[in-house]
Amino acid sequence: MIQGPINIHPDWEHIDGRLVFSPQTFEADIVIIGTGAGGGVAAEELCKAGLSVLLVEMGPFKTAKDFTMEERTAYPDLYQEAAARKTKDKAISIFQGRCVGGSTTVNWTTSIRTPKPTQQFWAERFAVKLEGKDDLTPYFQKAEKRLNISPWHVPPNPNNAALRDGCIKLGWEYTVIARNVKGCANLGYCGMGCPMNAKQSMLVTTIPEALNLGATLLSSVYVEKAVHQHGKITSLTCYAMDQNHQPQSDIPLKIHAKQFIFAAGSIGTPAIMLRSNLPDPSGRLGKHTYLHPVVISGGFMKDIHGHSGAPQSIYSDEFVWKHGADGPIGYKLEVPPIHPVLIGSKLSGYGQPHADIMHRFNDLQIMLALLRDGFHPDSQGGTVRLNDYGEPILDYPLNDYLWNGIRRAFLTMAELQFASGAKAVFPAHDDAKQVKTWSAAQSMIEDLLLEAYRTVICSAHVMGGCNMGEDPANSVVNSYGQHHQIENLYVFDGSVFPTSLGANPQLSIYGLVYRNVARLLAG
Amino acid sequence: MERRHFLGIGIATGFSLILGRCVYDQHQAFPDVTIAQKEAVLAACVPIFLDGALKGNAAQKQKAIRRTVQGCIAFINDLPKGTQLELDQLFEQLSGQLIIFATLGQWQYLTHLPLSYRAKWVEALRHHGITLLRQAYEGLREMIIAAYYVHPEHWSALQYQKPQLGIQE
Ligand SMILES: Cc1cc2nc3c(=O)[nH]c(=O)nc-3n(C[C@H](O)[C@H](O)[C@H](O)COP(=O)(O)OP(=O)(O)OC[C@H]3O[C@@H](n4cnc5c(N)ncnc54)[C@H](O)[C@@H]3O)c2cc1C
Ligand code: SF4
Repeated sequence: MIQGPINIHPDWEHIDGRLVFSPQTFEADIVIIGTGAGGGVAAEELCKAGLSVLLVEMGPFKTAKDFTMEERTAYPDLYQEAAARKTKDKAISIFQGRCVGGSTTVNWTTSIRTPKPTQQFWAERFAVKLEGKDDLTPYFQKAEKRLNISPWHVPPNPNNAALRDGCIKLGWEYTVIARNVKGCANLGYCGMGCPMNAKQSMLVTTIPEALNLGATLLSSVYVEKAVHQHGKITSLTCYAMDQNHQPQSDIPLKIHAKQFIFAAGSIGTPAIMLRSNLPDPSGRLGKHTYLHPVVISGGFMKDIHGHSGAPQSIYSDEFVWKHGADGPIGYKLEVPPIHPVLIGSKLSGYGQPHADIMHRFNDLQIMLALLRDGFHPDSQGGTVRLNDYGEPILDYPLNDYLWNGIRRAFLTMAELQFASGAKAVFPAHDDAKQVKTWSAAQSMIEDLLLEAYRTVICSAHVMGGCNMGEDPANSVVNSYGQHHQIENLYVFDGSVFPTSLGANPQLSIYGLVYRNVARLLAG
Repeated sequence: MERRHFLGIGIATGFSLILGRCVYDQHQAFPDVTIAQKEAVLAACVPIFLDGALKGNAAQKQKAIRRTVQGCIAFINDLPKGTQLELDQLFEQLSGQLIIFATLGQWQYLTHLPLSYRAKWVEALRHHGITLLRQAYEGLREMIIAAYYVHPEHWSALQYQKPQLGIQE
């Protein structure tokens, strides 16, 4: 059944920062910064345990009635930097949510458990505890139950079907994706906020439940920094945001609590720690931030209509682990939803050639390759730094190790697209032409000059920057998310991952946070 | 190497130092660039980036250009302060003559260039050896294409429509 919009309930303790005009002070047992995958799960579990919980979110509280299925409202309302966040050199576009529900409000619902080779790598290199009572399996099961995660057996839309059909033709592995949806109408607008409340994001599951149980939510409130002394955080300094999502330093809000949970996501969590001058003896704070850098290949096939239907329902892991965890970089194959701004701005070029592609919008098939970064000595990710305004900027260097993987990924995607019937293929690269055969694609791609700006690169999976591990010399928090030096600080979000995942991150975050919050409650 | 090409590299390198100090410098104060100046620069760039996409008669094209320029200005207001500063510094450069000299070798204002020269200028930015000019090209390209295609008025050429929902309250 299609559900109607959940509105903001009048009984909920919700304060909209844009309507706060004077300084205020708040108090709670536990404060959670961020309401995304990590913050949402933690909030519900802590409220169920009877604790007084305060959630602070820099983005606005938007609900289904605001989700108009238009990019012109979705991006400025729901995304960090109006969906225009970039790395320091502007070579990589970064998509992250900035709203109640965080990135889960805008994500594409793909739900995958942390791959075993990734877990093994973390256990071996960072002594992360993932065995015995620390096994994540029961926590993945818990998340799958809570968020209605199951394989999507509705036939894939033609964009995803092309990925599947190409894999069948070539004898490559493919998998039907599990999605966190209930009553999904197969619209394809998950990235603009689900207008049906069908996507089981934090916005419609854990956050409403936490509010029903008495949590307080401050939306459009920006956490500037944590005040700490003698190894403990004592309070947070926050600012109310204005209508243009700018923090107003003349309206400070103070929050006192006993425990502090940072769930502001990768980039966000390290940024707060850097602004707070938290101890960093390992020197890893903000460092080793990973992106699953994504490269794109366009193809023309008849009647794809890639804006319609579940955005992701098939993936292929054929090339993720082919050369071992720490060999030449592996990549996962997926497809995106195809909407005018998202795709128009990410295809190379401009003017007539670009317009010609856009005029064939419904025949566009788009393939993505997500590169699994962080496992090789030449793939150590990026570093979050602060600019003069205290705003985070990710410096993510591009090197030959990555370019080598990008070239292989372009080749793989072109081969796959021709195998599934593409009439022409063009990698998203400034010098690429539309080619009509696989052999023409091979020689063009082999010759492409791969460098920043010529090659379109983006990311919707930011991970790391505050990595977990048992040795304080090579990690910021322990296996359970507790900060090595600050006793009452826990990090419950994707920033704790020591590498990227090789899989879409949300279920890994849900599982890990269910486990770690249980541990926190057990004392 | 041809003498003209050699000179070009010399000029470019010299200007990279000047531009490098001016553009994307987080330590500077916000430059004095007015909204009208930003609008003029954008209005000069939009017809180039959207050549082939802009449809209809001259009045309809003008309307679409205005709408796109307004979209870019609104978008900039939502960005973090550091990015706004970078963009203001870029618009300050684009409002002056130096950047045209660095790319086309002429002392001219972008807004005074005829369409065909503006097209050459965009191509020069796109393939320039100076990173900052490549960044400027990419920044303008993405912003203008996004600001154009967000408008439902521009979707008919794509045969793109959003679904109509009958929501059960
Ligand atoms: C377009 C898109 C599609 C995606 N698709 C998928 C998918 O299909 N499957 C999948 O598994 N993953 C997907 N992801 C990624 C996934 O959603 C994220 O990895 C996950 O939500 C991250 O969880 P998190 O808790 O670390 O951070 P987030 O969910 O990003 O939440 C962090 C929150 O903290 C807030 N915050 C940051 N700084 C501050 C501050 N200073 N003060 C107050 N609040 C702050 C942010 O506004 C944000 O709401 C997608 C992401 C995007 C953007
Ligand atoms: S496809 Fe996405 S937006 Fe559409 S109903 Fe399903 S979950 Fe919601």
